[in-house]
Amino acid sequence: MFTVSHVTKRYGKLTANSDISFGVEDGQIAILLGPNGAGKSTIIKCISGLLRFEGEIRINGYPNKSLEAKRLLGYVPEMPAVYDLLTVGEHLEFIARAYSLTGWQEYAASLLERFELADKKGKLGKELSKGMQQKLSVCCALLPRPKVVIFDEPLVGLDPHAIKELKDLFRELKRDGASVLISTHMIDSVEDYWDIAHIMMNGTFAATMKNEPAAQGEKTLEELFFEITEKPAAVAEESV
Amino acid sequence: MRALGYLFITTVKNRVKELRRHPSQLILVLFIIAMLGLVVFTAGLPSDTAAERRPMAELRAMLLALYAVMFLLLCKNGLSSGASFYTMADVNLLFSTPIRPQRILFYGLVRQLGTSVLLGFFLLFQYSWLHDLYGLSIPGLLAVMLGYCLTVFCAQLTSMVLYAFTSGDEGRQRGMKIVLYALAAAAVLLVGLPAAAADNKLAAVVAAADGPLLAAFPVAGWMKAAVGGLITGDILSAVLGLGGCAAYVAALVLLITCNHPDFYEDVLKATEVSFSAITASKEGKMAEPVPVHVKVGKIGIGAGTGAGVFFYKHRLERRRSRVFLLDGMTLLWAAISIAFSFFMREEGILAVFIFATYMQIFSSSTGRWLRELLMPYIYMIPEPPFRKLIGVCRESILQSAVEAVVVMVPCGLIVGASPLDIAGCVVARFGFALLFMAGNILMERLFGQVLNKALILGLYLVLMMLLALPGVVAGIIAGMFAGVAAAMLVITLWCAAVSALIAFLCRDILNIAELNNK
Repeated sequence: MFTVSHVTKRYGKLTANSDISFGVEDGQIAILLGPNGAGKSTIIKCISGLLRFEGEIRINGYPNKSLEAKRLLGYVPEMPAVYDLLTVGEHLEFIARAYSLTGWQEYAASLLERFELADKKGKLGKELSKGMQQKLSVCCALLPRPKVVIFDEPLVGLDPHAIKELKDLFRELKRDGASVLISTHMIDSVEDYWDIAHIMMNGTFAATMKNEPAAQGEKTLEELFFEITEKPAAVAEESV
Repeated sequence: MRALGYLFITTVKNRVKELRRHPSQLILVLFIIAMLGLVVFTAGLPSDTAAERRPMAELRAMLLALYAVMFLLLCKNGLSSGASFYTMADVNLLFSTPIRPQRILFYGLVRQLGTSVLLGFFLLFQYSWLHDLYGLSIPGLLAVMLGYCLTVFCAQLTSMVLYAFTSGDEGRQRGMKIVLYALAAAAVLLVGLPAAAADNKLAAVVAAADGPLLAAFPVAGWMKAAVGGLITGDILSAVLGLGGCAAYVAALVLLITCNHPDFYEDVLKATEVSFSAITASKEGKMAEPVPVHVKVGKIGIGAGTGAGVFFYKHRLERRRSRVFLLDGMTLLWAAISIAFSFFMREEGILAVFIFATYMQIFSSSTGRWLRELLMPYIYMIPEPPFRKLIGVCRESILQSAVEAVVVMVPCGLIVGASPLDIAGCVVARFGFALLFMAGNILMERLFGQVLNKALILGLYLVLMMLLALPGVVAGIIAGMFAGVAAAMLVITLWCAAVSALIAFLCRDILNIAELNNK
């Protein structure tokens, strides 16, 4: 599990995230929805320990920048991060060595297999398409079997098979008790596997919705999203 | 033309406005102006070394070497990927407008000229020794810089033309490569043959490089003649050199506009290559000079755990990018230092060491550790940041040790220094390499990813001098009592201690990615 308490992130005068608090329990999938520039990637990078911030973030009780927290955390960045001169297999070896993993080969092989990278094990990072790089990035993040996994726009650029596999993987992570946070601006891509959704606007949470059977008359996630994100434009139009 | 004029002026205006929003860049610009002022001011001070100045022919020979290397290297690179004066925005927005391609070509040329001027900025920092050794004045230095900028500009234009006429035809490309290699070989032979037969090899090399045959070397020879003429007041030489270059540019532009007006496709690949390098940098990746065809060879990193894995990963990447002991640029700078020790062999090992160390500031490669800062792994790996910093720098440290031997041993032998003094210089050069590497870390910590490294070079230079100063003073004192080797040892110890302290204080750059992405 992880908790985010009163996190504010400023870039000079610009406040990218303002007093955000939320948590994701073990075996729970949370999604961050919001238009471009809402602050989703910023809070994700704060949780991943890449940015400085005001407030507190804890991973299984450890401060998020501690070594204990880093051992429990997996992060899949929005832009695939692969080394041009390492092969697919060597990326996984690199992660295994860096995290001092033992007996990782079998799990690495299964990850490559399910993301259709097994036959590309000997290919260099620079020879992979963007989609394949993204899949490799996912494999690298999952190899240490993290208890908290953060995905930043993970489905962008993936082929239909990889999207299906990744969605299955989200469910498996949930079943295995991991805490999963997924940022996306594609509402239709999150379907039904989420437990809690936070809709972000202007650096804050504008609404939070739990995935429970909808009572008659209740809004769907998509309806709520558009109601929130299109409100300022509508207000502006009315005022004109 | 109105649209292009508007685009050009608006872009320049917006760049100036951007300075206001980024105070650190503004400070750097002001610092550069201050440095220029200092250069001009010191040029006005009386000098007492006039009697010891070296012949101007040496300077002209060096200019020919610099211009020729730049020209040939840029042309060769341009053959495989082309050269482009354009951005992706130009490709997407400008190329599709009903503006004549010739005008768009002209717009690209004007803009590229401005970029070339920025590339020659590092030459301004060479004023001190050029003035002392050759009596070069400020206008002379500006002429050297202008020559450099025009050579780069001509090389980029040549690249574009070569690519336009050879792309898609491997036979033609191979032919052009042979022509370029033949040009380089001819220049080496023209200089090397007379030197091999002469007693005074240095004088023979200089005489050949400054002779009429090499003055005909495309662009580099003409530009050397022009700059040499401007410095010495030889108007005919200056006019002939500049005229030759102007005619060359006009001929290439004519060739493109008359025979190949549809040049968009030819610049597209180069534009995409440079665009992907820029966006990769913005998106957290740094473009690495990777060969087009990589020989994968033995698979596997093979060793290292925790932070130690970075060293073995870097070794693997180095092998695949066909860099063995030292990379091409390091070898080039090493060759410059060694060649210069010929000119200074009467001055003794200390003078050569000081010059080589000054050159080392410019050549100190930032290494692969800098590229690691732009990937998430270095931040995510559960290891203490100081250990990670040492882990990512290990490969650069090893390369610095090799480079110290490669540079100082030949330099020491040329000047006839004792083995002990040579060993002292090797160790001290390694110490300075550590200091410069720590300086790079410090600049990274302070300025993050300021993309224009030329702009922060001046600040880096001053910072390095300040950090080295106490060690140098202590070294001089030690040297007075115990000789050169002892002085070098003291300097090395100081440099190593300061480097370790900086690395420790800056360890946070591996804890927070934000520090490297300002």
